[in-house]
Amino acid sequence: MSGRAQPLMRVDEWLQAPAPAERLAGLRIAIGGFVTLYLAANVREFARLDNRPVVEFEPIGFARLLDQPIPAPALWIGFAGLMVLGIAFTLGVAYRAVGPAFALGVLAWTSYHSSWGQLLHFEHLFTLHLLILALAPAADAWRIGQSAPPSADVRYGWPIRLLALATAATYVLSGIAKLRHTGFAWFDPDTLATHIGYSATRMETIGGPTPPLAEVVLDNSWLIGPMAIAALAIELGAPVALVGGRARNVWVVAALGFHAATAATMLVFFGYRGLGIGLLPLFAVERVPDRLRSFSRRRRAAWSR
Amino acid sequence: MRTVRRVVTVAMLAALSLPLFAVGDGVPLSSYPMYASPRAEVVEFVVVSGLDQRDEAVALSTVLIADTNDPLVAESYLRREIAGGRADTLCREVARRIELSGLDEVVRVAVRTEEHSVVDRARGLDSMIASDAVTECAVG
Repeated sequence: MSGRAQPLMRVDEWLQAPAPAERLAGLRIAIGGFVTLYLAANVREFARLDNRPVVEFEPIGFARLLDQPIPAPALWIGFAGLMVLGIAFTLGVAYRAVGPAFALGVLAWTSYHSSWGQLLHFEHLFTLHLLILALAPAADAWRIGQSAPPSADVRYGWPIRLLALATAATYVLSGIAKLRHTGFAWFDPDTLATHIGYSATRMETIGGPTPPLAEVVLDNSWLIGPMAIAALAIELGAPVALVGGRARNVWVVAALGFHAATAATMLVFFGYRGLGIGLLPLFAVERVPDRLRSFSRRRRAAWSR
Repeated sequence: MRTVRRVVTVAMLAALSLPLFAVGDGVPLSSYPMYASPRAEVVEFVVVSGLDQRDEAVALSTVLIADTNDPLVAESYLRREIAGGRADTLCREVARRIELSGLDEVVRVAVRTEEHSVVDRARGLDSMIASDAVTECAVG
């Protein structure tokens, strides 16, 4: 075998490795549950958009199918539909129909939500993840009324790899965007300092809280250069997480730290990634219930001693 | 089936990368340009304030100002209303929300633009470069 073929073989083995049905089902529950709660928590956004004038409407994505804003009753019917579908998706009910319906519904909503002059990038990754899950057999385990789960198979493993690839790709694209738009000036501390200053000033002018660490970081400007390098390294280095093991763990801790730092200095928080939900496809999530049970047993044993 | 999976995987990665080369930023395929471009040190902001009987400023929440909790949406909304020549409509909408909220001490709403050195502002230093009144309206 040629030296070039070997890495490709390894990638192919990784891509086509079997995984337990419970792992994919766990991701369905975590991602479906997150998106349903996110939509419910953002009900104000539906209220805000149920009476906007047509002049503000700049359709993008799926919303390009519309030539004017959705009437308020239809928007609220859509919200109710998304809630019902989101719960059914998470529980795995009638998944073959509900999976695609929920994913397309969320794609329609996120397109519409971004059609008012401001693209909301924090909604992209969960939309992509739902579209992948919708086409996968993600309700073959851990759903109501289900008997014994099937054995591990590539049809459960491959969609998980796609979810992980989508996660890594979105980080890499963000890193490439910084290099394309800013080039080496990204490493100039003034570049990140103006982003931090801009975000803090914006929050103040719109009546929001100021980022707790913005002033500290700007007053200690020696911190900013290493922060800029770390941000770019984390984004461009996302593919190392696909390797698994320690490399993945180090990258995930760094990525969560990056999101926490962005929240503390700029009050910009991509909840789906920052809370770790978007990073779950990198892990064997089916082990979580067992780990929790064993943790609980140990706690009970410690208490009874 | 193995080949189909390979082809679909490559197609998905190609689709995700497409905004870099062709279609630009969109939903859900994006070039993720946020916070990627350098910003100017001095930036103009739209500022909406509540004023009491003595003309003193009363802090307004993001929800009262822009009917949202999201700072990106709020900022974009304010900029677009001013750029679109709808400052008076914006002012009346804020006044209506204040009235509905029961924040009785606010009797007027003032909309203005302010230019700040953003780094100085965030450091708590004197940052104002310019300030221009845009419009005012009464609450109630």
